[in-house]
Amino acid sequence: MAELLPDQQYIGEWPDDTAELVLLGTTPGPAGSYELQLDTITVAIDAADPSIVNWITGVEPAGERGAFNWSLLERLIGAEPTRSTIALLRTDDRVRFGPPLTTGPQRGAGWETERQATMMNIIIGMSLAADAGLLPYERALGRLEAFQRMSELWLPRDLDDWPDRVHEAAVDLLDLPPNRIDPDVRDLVATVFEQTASLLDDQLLAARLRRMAIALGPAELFVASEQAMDFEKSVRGAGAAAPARAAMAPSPMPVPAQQPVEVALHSLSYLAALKVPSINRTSGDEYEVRLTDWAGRADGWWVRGFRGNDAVPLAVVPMSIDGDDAVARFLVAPSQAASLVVDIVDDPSHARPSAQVAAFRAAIASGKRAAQLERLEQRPQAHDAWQRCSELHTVAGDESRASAAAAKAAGADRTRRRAVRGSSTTAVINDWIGPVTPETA
Amino acid sequence: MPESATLTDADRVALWLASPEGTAALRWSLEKLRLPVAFDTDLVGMVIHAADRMVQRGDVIESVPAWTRRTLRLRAIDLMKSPRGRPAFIQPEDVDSPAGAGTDAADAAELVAAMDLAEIRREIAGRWDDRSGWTRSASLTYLSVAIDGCAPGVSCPAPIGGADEFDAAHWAGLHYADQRQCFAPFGERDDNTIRQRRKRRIDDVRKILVDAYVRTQADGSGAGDHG
Repeated sequence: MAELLPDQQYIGEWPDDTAELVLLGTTPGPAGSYELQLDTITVAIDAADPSIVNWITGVEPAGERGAFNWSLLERLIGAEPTRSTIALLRTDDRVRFGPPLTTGPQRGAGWETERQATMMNIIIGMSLAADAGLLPYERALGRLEAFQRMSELWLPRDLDDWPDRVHEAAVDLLDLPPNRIDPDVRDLVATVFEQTASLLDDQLLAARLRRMAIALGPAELFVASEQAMDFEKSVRGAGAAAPARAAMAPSPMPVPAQQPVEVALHSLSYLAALKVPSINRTSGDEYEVRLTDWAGRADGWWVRGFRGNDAVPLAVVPMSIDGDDAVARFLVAPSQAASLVVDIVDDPSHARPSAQVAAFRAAIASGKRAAQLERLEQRPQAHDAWQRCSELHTVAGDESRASAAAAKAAGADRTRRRAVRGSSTTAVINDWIGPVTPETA
Repeated sequence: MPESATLTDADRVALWLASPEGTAALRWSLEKLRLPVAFDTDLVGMVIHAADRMVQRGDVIESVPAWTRRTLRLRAIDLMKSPRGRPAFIQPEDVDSPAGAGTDAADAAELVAAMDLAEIRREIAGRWDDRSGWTRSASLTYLSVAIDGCAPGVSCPAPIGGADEFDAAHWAGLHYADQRQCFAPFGERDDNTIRQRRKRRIDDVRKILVDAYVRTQADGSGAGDHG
């Protein structure tokens, strides 16, 4: 069987005191990594150049020294490197930094087979499907598209929980509202429904997904299903209970902010989709943070307001749904508002990162966006995103990645890009749907 | 009592990170991914935070060097990835504490009068965990209204009569923490269930405020930055 990852040099790291094997390939470039975890093995590829493997790690099941999923590892990195890995693990004289496990062509030589290209798409697809800011059905679509590709490579036979994973994601698809899917990607979504149905053991669920695929297919059927939904809504509305307070309460009118409020670069909406919230003062002391059209994407997120000069927390409030938007409101006294800094996080127990680390994370987000735009073949926008990525890496103090991103922006890396594109730059479904769409670049 | 008996696992992680072995591991974690050296403080903060969460959950760190090395590597790798989706914590309906468990309003009034606000705020936000999230959120809003004198927005419910001067601040705290189940829908009157629920939740917020006050006093932090 052909190896799924390109023949590269790895360095094995096997610390004496951990049950984890690390095969280091190449350090990530300006856009960071895409990562896939299968069973106990994790594979990371470079987001700027997916033909490069950044690292592979494996964790032993508790109490079973050396009991990795060898079959899966062999399928990922090939037979010879796997044999070398086993030899490294079995030696009594464990070395932390072993010799290269295999030698071969220079890194980045490109994906040599279609199987390797498929593997690359699986890793990108699964990685994007795990990102923050996705609605449950978007996450499910991304995972199921990758599952379908995994089944083409016979990977599921190494995964005990495969049927559960497929079933769980398929159930999430049932929440997909047809009128939320852009007509341009309806066919793509319908294909995922069809393919998922073929993977399921549950025939009832499979039949339901096939019906939904048909509803998504031809335009006439799509319109009909939309009208049916509108009708259902109007029927439900007629007998509905009194609307909740928030819906009936008088709408606060925005009043001009005294000065612009700074939004920290590490805010989740920015890291997930380069989305900057709008901030308005809605009354004397009340501020409103709004992510337009993000209802449901920011569930469980919190907005924090800090005094800028000494980072004293002034407010931490949850984001909630307001119509189509995600919104949070909080109070800050005028005396504190002059230096107000706002961030959006999913875990308020985390300290605010330094300015350099915040810039680094934003640079990685911008690089990932650039890579996504390249997959969508939107070159001018990709150029701008690489440029922004380079600027942010400079702010972070990472000159090496700043230069690499600038080279991408300048098109200096065209040769490699062509090599990768030659085998596959197929956009995965989460490149088309999700919080970042091509139009909102 | 020997010193080691009073240290938490998080303390041991912090101490190991300060040792020559820990410093070398930190440096290696950054070098391996070609990350700027200036990220060291952030990385240490992330690892200690992860250790704190282990302690909060009651998990034991069996080997501090092994756990810390691995966590250093994982946190450094996290910087290279997009943020992951995280399941939102849902506040269960039945986690209210028993009625009357809090302090009375007069205590709270005296308490806030003496507060060192900046330290209290840091204390409240610094002990965040998923379960107590909304109470800490409401506590910070309470301070903004009761001490800073912020005026809540027009959509914020307010007590009508017979309430003490701090009740409005507590109502604002619950409102901005999205505790909608503590208020009747717009245009309807609060029933007894809602009133009881609101009282229990206000008591929970008072407990957080008292705890933060006591801790800042015990730490000796405190000369008067009142914002």
